[in-house]
Amino acid sequence: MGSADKKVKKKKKKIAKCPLFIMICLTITGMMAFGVIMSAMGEYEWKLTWEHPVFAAVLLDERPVNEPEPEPEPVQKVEEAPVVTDAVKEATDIMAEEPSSDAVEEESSEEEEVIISDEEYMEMYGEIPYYIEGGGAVKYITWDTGEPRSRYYSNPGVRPITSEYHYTHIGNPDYYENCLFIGDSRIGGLGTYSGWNKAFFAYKNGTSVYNIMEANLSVINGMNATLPELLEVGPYRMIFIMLGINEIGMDTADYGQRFGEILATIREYQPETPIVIIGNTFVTKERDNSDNVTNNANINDKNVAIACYANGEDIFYFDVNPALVDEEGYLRSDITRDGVHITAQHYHLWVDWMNEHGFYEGYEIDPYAEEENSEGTDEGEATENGEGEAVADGMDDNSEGGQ
Amino acid sequence: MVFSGLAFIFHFLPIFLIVYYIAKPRFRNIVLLLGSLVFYALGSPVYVLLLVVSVLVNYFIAGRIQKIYAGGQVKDDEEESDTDDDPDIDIIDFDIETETEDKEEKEALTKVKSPAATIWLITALIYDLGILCIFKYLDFILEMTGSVLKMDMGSIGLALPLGISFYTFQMISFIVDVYRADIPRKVSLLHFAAYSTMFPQITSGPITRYGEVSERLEQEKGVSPRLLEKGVTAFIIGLGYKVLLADKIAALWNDIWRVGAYGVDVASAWLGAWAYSMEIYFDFFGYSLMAMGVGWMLGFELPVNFSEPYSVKTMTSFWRNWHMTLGRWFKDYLYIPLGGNRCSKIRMLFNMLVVWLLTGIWHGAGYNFIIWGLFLFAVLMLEKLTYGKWMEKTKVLGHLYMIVLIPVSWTIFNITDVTQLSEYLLRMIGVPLEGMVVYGFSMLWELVQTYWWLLLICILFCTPYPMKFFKKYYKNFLVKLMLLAVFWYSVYQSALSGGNPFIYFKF
Repeated sequence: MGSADKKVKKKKKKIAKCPLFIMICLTITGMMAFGVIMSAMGEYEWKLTWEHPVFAAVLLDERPVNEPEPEPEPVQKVEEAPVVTDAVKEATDIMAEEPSSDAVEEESSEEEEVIISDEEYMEMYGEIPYYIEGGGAVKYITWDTGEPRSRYYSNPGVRPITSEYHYTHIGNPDYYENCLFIGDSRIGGLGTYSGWNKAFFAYKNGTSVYNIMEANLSVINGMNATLPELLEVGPYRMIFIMLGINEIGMDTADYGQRFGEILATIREYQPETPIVIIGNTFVTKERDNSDNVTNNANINDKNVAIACYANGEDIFYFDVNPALVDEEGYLRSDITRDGVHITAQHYHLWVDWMNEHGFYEGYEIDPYAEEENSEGTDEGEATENGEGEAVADGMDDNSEGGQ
Repeated sequence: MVFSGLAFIFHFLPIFLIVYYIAKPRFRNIVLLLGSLVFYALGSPVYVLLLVVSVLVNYFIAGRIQKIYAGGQVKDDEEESDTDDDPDIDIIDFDIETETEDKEEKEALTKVKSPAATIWLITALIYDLGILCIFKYLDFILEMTGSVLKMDMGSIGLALPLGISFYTFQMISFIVDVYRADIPRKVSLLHFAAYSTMFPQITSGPITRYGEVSERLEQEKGVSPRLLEKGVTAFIIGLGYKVLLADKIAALWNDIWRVGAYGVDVASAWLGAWAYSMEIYFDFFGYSLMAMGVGWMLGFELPVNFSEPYSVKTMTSFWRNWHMTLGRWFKDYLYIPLGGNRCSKIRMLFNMLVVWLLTGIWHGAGYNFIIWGLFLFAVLMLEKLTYGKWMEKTKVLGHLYMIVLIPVSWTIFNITDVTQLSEYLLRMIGVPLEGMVVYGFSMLWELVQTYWWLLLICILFCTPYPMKFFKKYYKNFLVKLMLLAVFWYSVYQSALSGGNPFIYFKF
C-alpha cells in the first residue's frame, strides 16, 4: 500500500511540474471530444484528414453541407464540347482583337454564344435573392473548365462576357468624377495607379462579400468609412463593384447570393445609379496549375454566379480579362508578381480597357455636358440606352478624331 | 509537414510522443529514428531514400576512418572530450585565437597520420557536396554556363530534397569530427542515423554537432517533467512568433511586393524591407524555438540558433547572433582550416571572402545570394578594418546603422530576380524609375493605417525584452494561461490560413 501511495504521490508531483503541458493535453482532448460529439450530432461537418483534426470544423465553424453540390449541367452545348484550350483561345482571340467595338461580341455570339435561362440559373445556384426583371443581358460563351479541382466550385460550362452596350471611348479621366469603386486589393490598386483622382475608391485588402458591409474601408485620400456610410452620402454617378478573389475558397452559390444581397443594398441606397459588376480577373498559368482553389476555373465559376445580376439596363457586367490575359487565357505572367494582382505599372492596361467602355458618349468632348440636366447624369445614360447604335457609332468616330 | 501546421501539432507530434514515452528508454532511439523517417517521408516521400543512402554512405566512411585510427595509434578514448562547446569561443568572430584552438588543431593534425583517412574524408566530402550540388545547384550552374556561352543548356528540374542543405552540413560535421578524432568511440549506426535524421532539426536546423546530442543518444535517459514543460513552453512561444507575428507581418511585404518597385514610394520601400526583415526573423527564430522545444520534449538539448540579433550594433555582432549554428559550422569547418586569421591580412580577407560567398550560395542558387554574400563580406571587411570596434562602443549610432543595414541585406536576400532587386534598391534610395506610377505617399499612408498596431508589436518583439520576460516569468501560472491562449489562437490562425511554409524550408 505504502509503496503504491508513494508512486501516486510521485506521479502527482511529476504532473505538478508540467502544468502547461497538462493544460494543453486537456484542452486538446476536450476540443477533440467536442468536435467528435458535435459532428456526430450533425452540427459540424465530419471531416477528418491528416491536415484537418476533428475539432478544426468547430474552430472554423464548418457546417455540414445538406445537399450535394449541384452537378454542372451542360447548358445548351453547341455541337460537341470544345477542348478547354481551344475554347479559351477562341474566347480570348475574339475579345482581344479590338476591345472597343461592338462587333467583337457580335462575332462571338455567332460562334459560341449560349444564353442561360433564368430557370437554368436557379437550377445551378439555387434561388437568386435579387433579380431584375428582364435580366440576362449578359451573354456567355461556352467554356468547359473540366473536372473541378476542389469542392468549392463547379464547372458551369460557360463564361460570361461584357454586357452588350454601345460603349464609347473615354478621353478624359474626369469621366470618373463622383464614381464609386467598391472592392478588395485589386480595386485598391486601380485606385492608386489609375490616376482617376476624382473617383472614390472604397476598398480593403482581403475583404469579401462576407464582410464588405461592416469593413472599415479605405477611401483614397486617407479617409475611412463603411460601405453603408458611403452609400448614404451619394448619389454617385456610377458604382463599380469587384469582389470575389478572397471568397475563392467559399461555396460559389453562397458567394453569388451574398453578392446579390450587396447589390440589393446598394440599389436601396442609390436607386438611380448605374452599377457595373467587374468580373474577377484571372490568375497566371503557374498559379492556376499549382492551386486547386485559386484557379481560373473557380474564378470563372464565381463570375458566372454574379454576371447574372446584370440586366444591360442599369446593371452591367464587365469582363476586363481580355486586356490582361495571354493567348492561352491566363493572366500575363509579365504583369504580375504573385500571379493574382497586377503590378503598378501595368494597371494602365485595365484603365485603357475601361476607357474603351464608357457609357456617356461625347464625354471626352465636353466633360460637363451631361450635368446640364441637373443631377441627371443617370437619366442621360438611360436615354442613350434607347438611342441606339447610330449615336454610339458617331461618337466613336469623334473620339478617334479627338485623340 | 511544418511545425506550425495542424497535421504536425495534432497528429504527428502527439502520436510520436505517446509512442516515445511509452517505449522503454533503450528503444527510444529506434522510435526516434522511425518517427523521423516517417516525418521526412510525409514531407518528401521520394527523397527519404536519398536520405537513407546518405546516412549509410557517411556512416560507412566514418567507420572506415575510425577503423584506420584503431589500426594505427589511436589516442586513449577517455582522454578526448567534446571540444566543440567552449562557450568562450566566439561564434562568428574569426579574430579570436585561443590557445585551446591551437592545441586542438595540432592534436587533430597529429592524429591524422594515415593518408587513407584523408582519402576517405575527401570521398565523403565529394559525395555529400556532390549530392548537394546536383540537387541544389546544377540547374543554376547550367543556367550560368548557358548565359556565358550564350546557348540554352536546358535544365534538370529536380525538386529540392527537404532539408538537404542542413543535413548535408550536419553529416559533414560528423565526418570531419571523426577525422579529427573528436568523436573517439565507435558510434552505432542507430545513434548516427537517429542523430542525422532527427525530426526536430532535419528540415531547417539547428545544425547540431554529434557531441551535443551524443550523451543523450548513448545514455538513453528518460525525459524529466521539467524538461517537458520547458519544451512545451518554447514550442508555444515559437508557434506564436511564426503564426501570429511572421505570417501576419508577411502581409505588409506582400502588399508592396505585388505592386512592384514601379508603384512604391521611398518610405514604403523601406517599410517593406523592414517588414520583411521582421518576417524572416520571427519565422526562423520561431522555427528554431519550436525545434528546440521539441528537442527538449524528447530529452535533447539542441544548440541555440539566435540570440537577439536585432539589438546589436554591427554586422559582425549580428552574424554572431543570427543562425549561430551555421556561423559556427563555417568557422569550424572552413574558415579555420583555410588558415583563419593567423595569416597575412590579404589571406585573411580572402578566407573571409570564401566563407561569405559560400554562406550566400548555401542559402540558395541564385545571383542575388552571391550578391548578398559579397555585400556581407564587404560590410564585415569594412567593420573589421575600420569602424567596427568604434561602432560597438557607440550608444545610438550603432543601432541606427543596423536599422539601415539589416533591411538592405534582407532585401538583397529576398528578391531573387536581379532586375527586380536593382529596381527595388533604386527605389529605396529614391531614384525614380522610368514609367513609374507613384502618386505621393498614399501607399505609405495606407500601409501605416492598416498595419500600425502590428508594426508596433513586431518592433517590440525585435527587442530583447519579450524573451527576457518569458525567461523570467514562464513558471508563473498567469503566463502559462497566456501561453495556452497563444497556443489556441495560433492554432486557429493556422487553421484559417491553411498553414504557411517556413521561409527556411526552401533552402
